[in-house]
Amino acid sequence: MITRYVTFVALKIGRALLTLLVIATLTFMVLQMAGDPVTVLLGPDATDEMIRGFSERLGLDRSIAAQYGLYLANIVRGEFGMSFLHARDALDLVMGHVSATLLLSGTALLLALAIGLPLGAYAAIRHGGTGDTIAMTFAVLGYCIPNFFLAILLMLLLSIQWPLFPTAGGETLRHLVLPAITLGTSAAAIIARFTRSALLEVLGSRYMVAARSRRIAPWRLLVHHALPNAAIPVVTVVGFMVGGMISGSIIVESVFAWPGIGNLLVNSVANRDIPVVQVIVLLSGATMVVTNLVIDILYGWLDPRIGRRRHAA
Amino acid sequence: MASGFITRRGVLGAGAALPLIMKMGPALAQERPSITVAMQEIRTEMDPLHPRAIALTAFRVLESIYDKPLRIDYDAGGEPVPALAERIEQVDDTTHLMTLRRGVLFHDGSEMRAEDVAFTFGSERMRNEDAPGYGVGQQSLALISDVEVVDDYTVRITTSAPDPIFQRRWAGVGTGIISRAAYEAADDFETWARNPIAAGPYKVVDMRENDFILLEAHDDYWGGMPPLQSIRFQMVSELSARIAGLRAGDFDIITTVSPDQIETIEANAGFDVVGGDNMHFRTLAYDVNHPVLADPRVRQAMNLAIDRELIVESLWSNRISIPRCHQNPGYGPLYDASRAIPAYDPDRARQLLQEAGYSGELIPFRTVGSFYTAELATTQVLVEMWRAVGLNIEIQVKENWGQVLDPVGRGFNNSSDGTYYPDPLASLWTRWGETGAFQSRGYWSNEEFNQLGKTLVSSTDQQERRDAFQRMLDIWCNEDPPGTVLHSLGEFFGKRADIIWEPTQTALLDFRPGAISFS
Amino acid sequence: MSASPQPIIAGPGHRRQGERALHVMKDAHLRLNGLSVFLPDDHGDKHIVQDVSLNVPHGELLALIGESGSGKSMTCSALAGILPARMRVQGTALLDGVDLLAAPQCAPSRSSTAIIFQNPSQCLNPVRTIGFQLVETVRMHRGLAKRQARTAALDALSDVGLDGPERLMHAYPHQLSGGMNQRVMIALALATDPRLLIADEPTSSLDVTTQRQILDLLEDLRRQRTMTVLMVTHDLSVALERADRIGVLHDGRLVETGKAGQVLTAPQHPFTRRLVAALPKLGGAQRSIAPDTVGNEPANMPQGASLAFKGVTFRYPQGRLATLIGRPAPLTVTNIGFEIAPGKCVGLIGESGSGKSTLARLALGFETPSSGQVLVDGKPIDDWPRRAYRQAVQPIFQDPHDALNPSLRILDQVAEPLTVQGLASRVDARNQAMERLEAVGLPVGIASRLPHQISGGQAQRVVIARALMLRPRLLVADEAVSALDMTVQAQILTLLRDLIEREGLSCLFVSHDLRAVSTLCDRLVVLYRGQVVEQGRTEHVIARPEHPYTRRLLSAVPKGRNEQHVVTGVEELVFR
Repeated sequence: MITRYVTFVALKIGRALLTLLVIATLTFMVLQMAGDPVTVLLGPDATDEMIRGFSERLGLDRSIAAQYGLYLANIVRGEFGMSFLHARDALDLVMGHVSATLLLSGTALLLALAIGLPLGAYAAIRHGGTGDTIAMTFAVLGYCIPNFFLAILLMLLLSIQWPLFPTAGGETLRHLVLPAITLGTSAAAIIARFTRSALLEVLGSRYMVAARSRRIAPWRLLVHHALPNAAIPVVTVVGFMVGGMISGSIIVESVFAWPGIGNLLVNSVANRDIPVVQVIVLLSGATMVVTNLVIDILYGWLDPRIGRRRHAA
Repeated sequence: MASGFITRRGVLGAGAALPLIMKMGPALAQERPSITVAMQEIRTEMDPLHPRAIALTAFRVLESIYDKPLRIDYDAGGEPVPALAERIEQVDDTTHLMTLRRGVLFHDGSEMRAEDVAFTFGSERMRNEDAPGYGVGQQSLALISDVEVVDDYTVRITTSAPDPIFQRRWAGVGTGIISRAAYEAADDFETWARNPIAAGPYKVVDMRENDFILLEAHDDYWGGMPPLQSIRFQMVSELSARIAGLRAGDFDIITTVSPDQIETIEANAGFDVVGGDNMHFRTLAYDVNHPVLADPRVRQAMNLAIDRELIVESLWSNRISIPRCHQNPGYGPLYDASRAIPAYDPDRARQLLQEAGYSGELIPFRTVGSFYTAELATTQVLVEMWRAVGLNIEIQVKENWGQVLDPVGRGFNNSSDGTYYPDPLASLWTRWGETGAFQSRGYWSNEEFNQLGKTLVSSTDQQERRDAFQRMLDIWCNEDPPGTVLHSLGEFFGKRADIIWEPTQTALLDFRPGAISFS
Repeated sequence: MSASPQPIIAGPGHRRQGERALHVMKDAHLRLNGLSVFLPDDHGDKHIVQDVSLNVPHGELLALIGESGSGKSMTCSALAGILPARMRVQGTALLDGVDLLAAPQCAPSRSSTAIIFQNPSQCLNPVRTIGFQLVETVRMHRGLAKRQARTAALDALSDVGLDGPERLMHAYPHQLSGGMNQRVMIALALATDPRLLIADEPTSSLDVTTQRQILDLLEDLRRQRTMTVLMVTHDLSVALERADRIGVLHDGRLVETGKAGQVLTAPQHPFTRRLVAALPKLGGAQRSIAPDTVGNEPANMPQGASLAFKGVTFRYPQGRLATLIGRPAPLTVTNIGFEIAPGKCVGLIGESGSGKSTLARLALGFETPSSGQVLVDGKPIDDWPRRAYRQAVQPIFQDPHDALNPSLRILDQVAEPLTVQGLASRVDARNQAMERLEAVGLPVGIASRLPHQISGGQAQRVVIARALMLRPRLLVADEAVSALDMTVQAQILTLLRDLIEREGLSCLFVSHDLRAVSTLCDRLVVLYRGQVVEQGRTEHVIARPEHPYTRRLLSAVPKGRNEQHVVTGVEELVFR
C-alpha cells in the first residue's frame, strides 16, 4: 500500500513537471515569435552598435535552438538565467517581488472570504427576500466592476475625498488597504455567489429536510449540516483563486504601484525579458499544481465519499 | 575663439555663486523637504553609458545623480558654463586641457581627481569595443581617442579629428563623471549601475526594479547643500493613478501628463501643470525602401498634407510650438529664425502625388499606440489629413518597438529625436547622420546630406557649419525628406502649486540648489 | 427477520380482527380535519391537498395511496412540519388532541411525530458519520450527555436490526446499502420516541427483498411500540399487504378510505377501481402470443435479431491510477450464458448490484467482454459495422426525462435519429415521427411540447417511439418502467408487448421487478451476484423455482390479498 501511494504521488509530480515543461516551452516560443528581445529591450533610440554589444553580453547572438537548449538545461539545474533587462539572476529578481504579491493576494483573499462567505450564506438563508436581493446586487456589482475602475474610484473616495489611505507604494500596511479591497471585491463577489448557490443546493437537499424533520436546531443545521456540505464547491473556487494568486493581481499592482510581481511581469513581457517571464510563469504554474494537490487532499477531508475509505460495510 | 570666452565666464560664474550657496547650507539642512516624483517608468540601470539608460525616463533620474564637466545655461543663451570642470582650454585642433574643479567630493566622500575623469572616458569603461559603455559612448563621444592624466586636477583630451562642438559635448548625455575606485570595487558593471558613485547633488540609497529609486541629498555636493532631503522616484504606470496620487498628496510631482488632463489637474487650486515645449522633436520616420515612399514627391506630399497648427491647437491647446524644421533657437549662430515652419498645402500635395503617379497604394503606418503623449490621437488625425489628399494609409498598432522597427513590410512610423545639448550634432546628426539610428537601420540615406554632415562634424568655422547645417535642413525638410517634424515633443508635469519648479529645456528634472523651492 | 414465520399469509386477517377491538375502545389517535395544503397565489390559491379528513386509531397503519402528484407527500410534509416555505396549510391535524399544524416546528408536541423517506441514502448527511447524526438527534430530543447519547444511539441501531452498531457509528452513508440506510433512518426516527411515524414511500427505491425486510421491520416496531403509522405508497399491493386502512388520494382529494380488504374487493371510486385493475398478476397471465412457435412473424416486418451471451465475463477495466489509489474493483459478471431467439423477449432479473445493467451495457456494445462473446445474429458485436449496430439495437433506459433533450420539441426529438443519420429529409422524418407518436398512443398535441411539459409515462412513450424510428431489431430495456407509477407501468408494459409482437422485435428486458418481467417475457434469466443462477420459460420459473435465490425473490413479491388468485392464474398457464 505504501509503495502504491509513493507511485501515485510520483505519477502526480511527474505529470506536474511535464505540465511545467510544456508551459516553459510555450512561453519561450511565444516570446521568441513576438520580436527580437534586444531591439525591444533597448528601445527606439538604440543604434546597431548598442544592440550588437548587448546581444553578445546576453548570449542572444546564438541560434534559437541553442538558446532553448541552454535554457532548458538551466531550468533543470534550477538556474533560470539572468534577467536581460536588469542583469540580475531572474529567480532572485522575481523572488524579491513575490512576497509583496503574496501579501497582497493573501490579504485580498482573506478579505474576500471574510466578506464573501457570510454574505453568500446570508443570501442563501434569506433566499428570495430583500436581504438576498441586496446581497446579490452587491455581488453582481462587485463582479462586474472592472478592477481598474474600482481602483480609481477607491482612490477618489478614500485617498482624495477622505485622505485615509495612500494611493501608491508598498512600504506600510496602510498601503495595502486599497489594493487589497480592489482585488478582494471581485473575489468576494465570486465567493458570495458560489457560497449562496452551494448552500441553496444543500439547504434544498433531502438530508436537510430530513434533519429539519428531526427538529435539529436551526443554527446547528446550518453549522454542522449545511456548511460542511456547501464547503466543497466553495473550496474549488477558492482553490482556483489561490492558484491564480501570482498572476491575478497584475492590473491592481500596476495601478497602485504595489511593488509585487505585476509591474515586473508587465515590463518583462513587454520587453521580452524571457528569463524573468519564464520564472514567473513557472512559478504560477507551480502554484496552480500545488494548490490542486492541496485541494485534492482537502476534498478527501471534507467529503468522505472521495478518497478516504473506512469501515466499508 | 569661443572656447576661450567660455572659460572666462566659467571662472567668474563659479567664483561668484559658490560662497553664497555655501552660506545657505546649514539653515536649509534643518527643514529640507523630501519629495516623491511619480513617473510612468523607471530604469534602475543608473550608469549613463548603460544601454538601458538611454531613455528620457532614465535621464530624468540621472540628472540628479551625476554632474558633468560643463552644464548648458539656457538662461544665458544656451552656452556651456563650468560645472565639474573649471575650464577647458584648446591646445590645438585635436587636443584640449580640462582643468577640474578642486574639492569636489563624490557620494562616498572621496575627492574627484583627474584619474577619475580619465577613467570615466577610458578604454575600460567606454572606449574598448568590449567595454560595457562602448555602444552608448559611440553615440556622442566617439571622437575621443585618449584622456590622459596631467596632474591631479588636469586631464589632456585628444580627439581623432577636430571637433567643432567640443565644449558642448561635455554637457551632454553620457559625460557624468564617476568614481574610479568605486567602479573598480563593484562586482561588475550591472551591480555598479544599480548603485553608482558620482558627484551629483543626490546619491542612490535604495531602489527596486519596476518600483522605485530613492535618492538622498549629497550634503557635500560641491554646488551647495541640495534643497531636498530625499527624492523618491516612484513608478506608477497609469496616468490616472499618478493624477489620483498627486491629488491625494502621495506625490509631489508627476511626469508625462497628457494635454487633455491638464484641466483636470488645474481645476484644483492646489495643483498646477508645468512644462510643454522643449528641445526634443516629435517626428515621423519614412522608410524609402517602401516602393511608394521611394519617390521623394510622395514624402513631400505627405509632409505638405499635415496641418501642424491644427494638431497643436486641438490636441495640445497651443501649449507647444512647431519648430522651424529640425532646429532649435538654442543652436545659437546655427539657427535660422527666418526659416518657415513646415508648410501646410494640400493642393500642392495632391499635385505632387499626381506627378508621382500615386494611385492609392496602401502605405503602412506603424505605431506602438501610446509611447508618445497623445500618440494615438495624433496618428488618427494624421491619417485623416492624408486621406483628404488621397493618400491611403493603414495604421498598424504594434506591441513593442522591436515590431515597429522590423524592416520587413516597414512603411513609416512615429518617432522622436531627443536633443540633450543645443547643437544639431546632438540631434539631427546623431539620429539621421551617416552612423545614426535611421541610416544604420536602412531607412534612408542621402549622399549630399552625409557630405555636409562631415563639415558639421569637423569644421570649426561657425559660418561654414551654419551653411552646411542649413543646406542639410533643405534636404531633410524639403528635397528628400526622410521624415518630418510634427512639433516639439511636448512634456507636461503635474505638481503641487506650492512647489516652485520647472522642467529643463530638455524635459529633464533638475533638483539642484536654486532649481526648486517651496512657497 | 420477522418473528412470525409466514406473516404475509397469516398476518393480516388475525391482526385486523384484534385491532378492530382496539379501535372500538379508543378514540382515533390521529385526526385530520379539513387538511388543505396550497400555494398562495394572486390569481387564486393553487391547492395541492384539499380538504382531507380522516382518522387513524391508535397503533394502526394507514396507507395513503395515489399516483405521483396526488398530494400524498405534501400531506406527510404538512404533518411533519417540513412544508416548503411558500406553502400554506389549513385545517387541523390532532395527535392525542394536540394540533400538529398549530405547533411551531420546535415545540415539544412536535416530538411526537417522526418521518422517514424514499431514497434513504439521500436523506442522510453525506459528510457526517451515522454516529454523529444519531447522537445529535438523541441529544437534541432526550437531553442526554454525550456518553449516554452514544449508548442510546447504539441501542437504536440494534433495535432496527443492524449488525455491528459500533462499527456503523463511524461509517458514512455512502458506505452503506440503501436498505441499511433506511434502517438508519428508522433508527433516527425512533430516537425521537415518536407516537406517530410517517413513512413516505419508505421502500420504493429498494429492491424487492430489501423492501420486504424493511416493511417487516416497520411492522415489528409498530407492534412493539404501538406507534401509529401513516405510510404513503404508490404501490397498491404493498398497501394491501401491510395496511389496516387505506386512503386513496386523487388530485389532492381523499376519494376513498376504508379497511384494506374493503378497498380491494369493493372499490368505490373509479380511480380506485382503475388502480385495482392495474395490479399486475404474477406469471405473465396477460401474455397472449403463443410461445416458441417458429415462423409466425409477419413477413413484411423487420425480423428480430438473435442475441447470445457465450461464456461472458466482464470486469470493469481499472485505470492504473484507480488501482493505485485503491478504488475497489467495480461490479463484475462471470461466465454468463443465455440466448434470445429472434422475436423473443427475455427478462433479466436480479437485485440491484447483481450485474443486470452490466449485461445490458454489454448487449448495447457500450462495454466489451473481458472474455467470452456477445453475439448478435451470430456475429460478435465487434464485427458489426458500428453504425449498423447502433441502428439495429436500441436502448430504453429508466428515467425517460434524462434520455430526452430538454430544449427540443417532442416531434423533433423523435425525428432526430433519422435526420441525424441522413436517412430521411426533415419533412419525411417528421411525418414518420408523427406516425410513431400515434403508434405509441400519444395524443397529437404532444408533438410540439418540450420534455418538461409532459409526464413520465408520456416521456417513456416518446423514448420508445424514438427508439423505433430506426426500425431496430433488438430492444434493450434497462429498468424501463421502474420509475413510473403503477397504472402507467401497466400501460407501458402493454405498449411494449404490442410493439414487440407487431414488429417482431427481440427484446432484452432488464428489471428488478419480477411482476413486470413476468407479464412481458417469454423466458426469464435470474442473475445473482454476477452469475446466472436460473433460466427457463417464465411459467416454469415462477411455478417451480429451483434456485433458493429465485424462491426468495418470488416470496418477497408483495402479493396483496389476492395471492390465491394469482397462484391459480399461474397454474392455469402452466397446465395450458
